Amino acid sequence: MSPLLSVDHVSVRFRSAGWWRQRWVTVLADVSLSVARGEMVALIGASGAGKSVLAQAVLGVLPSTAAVSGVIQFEGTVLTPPVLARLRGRRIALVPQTLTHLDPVRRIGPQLVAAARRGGVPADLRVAAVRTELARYGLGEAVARQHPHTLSGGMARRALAAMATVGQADLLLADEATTGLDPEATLHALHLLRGLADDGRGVLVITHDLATVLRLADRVVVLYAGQTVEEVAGSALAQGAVRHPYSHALWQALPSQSFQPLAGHPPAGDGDGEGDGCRFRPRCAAAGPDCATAPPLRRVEEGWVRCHRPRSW
Amino acid sequence: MGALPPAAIMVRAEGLRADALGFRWSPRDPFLFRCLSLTLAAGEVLGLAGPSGRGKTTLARLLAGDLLPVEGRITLDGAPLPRRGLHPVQWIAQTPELAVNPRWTGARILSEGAAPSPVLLDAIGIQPAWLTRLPADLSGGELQRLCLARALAVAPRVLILDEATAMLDAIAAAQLWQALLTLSPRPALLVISHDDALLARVADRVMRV
Ligand code: SF4
Repeated sequence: MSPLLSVDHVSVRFRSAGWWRQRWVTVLADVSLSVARGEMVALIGASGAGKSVLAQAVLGVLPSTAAVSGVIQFEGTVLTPPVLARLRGRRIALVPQTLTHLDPVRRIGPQLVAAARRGGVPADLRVAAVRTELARYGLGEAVARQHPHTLSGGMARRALAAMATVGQADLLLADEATTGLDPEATLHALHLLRGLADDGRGVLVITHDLATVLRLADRVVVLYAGQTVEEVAGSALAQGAVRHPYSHALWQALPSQSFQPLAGHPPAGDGDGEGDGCRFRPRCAAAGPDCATAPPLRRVEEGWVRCHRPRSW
Repeated sequence: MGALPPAAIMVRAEGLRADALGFRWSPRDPFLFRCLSLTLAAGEVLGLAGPSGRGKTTLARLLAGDLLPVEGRITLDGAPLPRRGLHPVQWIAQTPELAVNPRWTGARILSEGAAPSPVLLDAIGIQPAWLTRLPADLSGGELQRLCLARALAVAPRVLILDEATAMLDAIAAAQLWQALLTLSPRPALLVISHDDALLARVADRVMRV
């Protein structure tokens, strides 16, 4: 059976108008991942690594200056703009992260009913679906009659999550990397998403909060400088059992581990002038002469790794 | 009030002190907190933990002079906090994007307070290239470092870090903490975080609200 979502060798470039000629800025350069039913997959990486761009590519909401190559499939069907227009909101839903997604002048109930309609719930079942959904998030029925501004931040977040899940979407995308969220509310949202995956939906979470996802996600996909560098089981990452030197450095930098930062910064991502070779090479302690050629993404028994000299343990 | 021996005054007056603080937004609202007291000695790192909604950020704003307490008082070395001029308590929030003018370059953002010395910029790991960029072209970690340099340049006595690294990846966060903790001289730090592992790493003691 094909996975719910499969992303194969996807690259995204943005056209930026220079002062005398156009320039292409590569934001994603070869990203692959998949999400099956019942699974929560986390996409992690530094800010600027292109995490949010991938969510936009899957939802087909990239700006017109973007060019996408590679294949994105939903249950084996290639996601083209017309296919996406049919699936978005119905089968694929974005879990909104900011309260601006709630209409301030409408009560919560009607907003949820409208979301259920967009999500393909038949008319006679919508009110019941809204009631069930509110209960799932521990919100009483009285909340349906309230306006968003009368809810506490945490309750408003749960109402938002209910908006995304009241429909019948099989694949939920959550971009937790958005800044300005209360970390505690984010943690709560991640636990809710885990519950939805256990109920048989597929969940893709985009985040930088490594400490949390390695306890919740089935698989973790690590991005560096626009590339997938490793895919590993969450439980393996939790123990530092990773192959790629960057994933290992991320894990080691956790306060619960050595709290030792890796020196240097990811490439700025402007221009394709990163040269040949491994993009992590300037910061990699394990680098050798072979790293002057770009390593391919290779299958290892527990996942995938893009490195000539993967770690063993 | 009776005279105290000079030594006792010295001990009592050391550092930042908040006595029985209470705050509510208006007389009709309930108190967010009451009877909240804390002390922060020079150079000390105090962690502040607790669930959201208990007013941790409001407390930070009171200490930084953004808001005035409804009850209680705040003193620094025994004297009330100044009402104007460069405030000795600086506050770094979770979202550097909201703390800077999006149309200003890094250099202009830095020159808003006292200009930070090159030594300070180097210690916080600010690259010269960032100074010519606009906030939108800087990563969260880079921007947060600029905010940090701007706050440190006025030589504050106390720096409040309110979930200051919550939006950073583990490496960028560890880089920033290492830079901050090894600064010398360094202001006293009040670290507000939901991350117990982080507080255990950086704080001398942790207070729960
Ligand atoms: S390919 Fe070489 S430089 Fe790149 S991560 Fe592996 S060892 Fe390091």
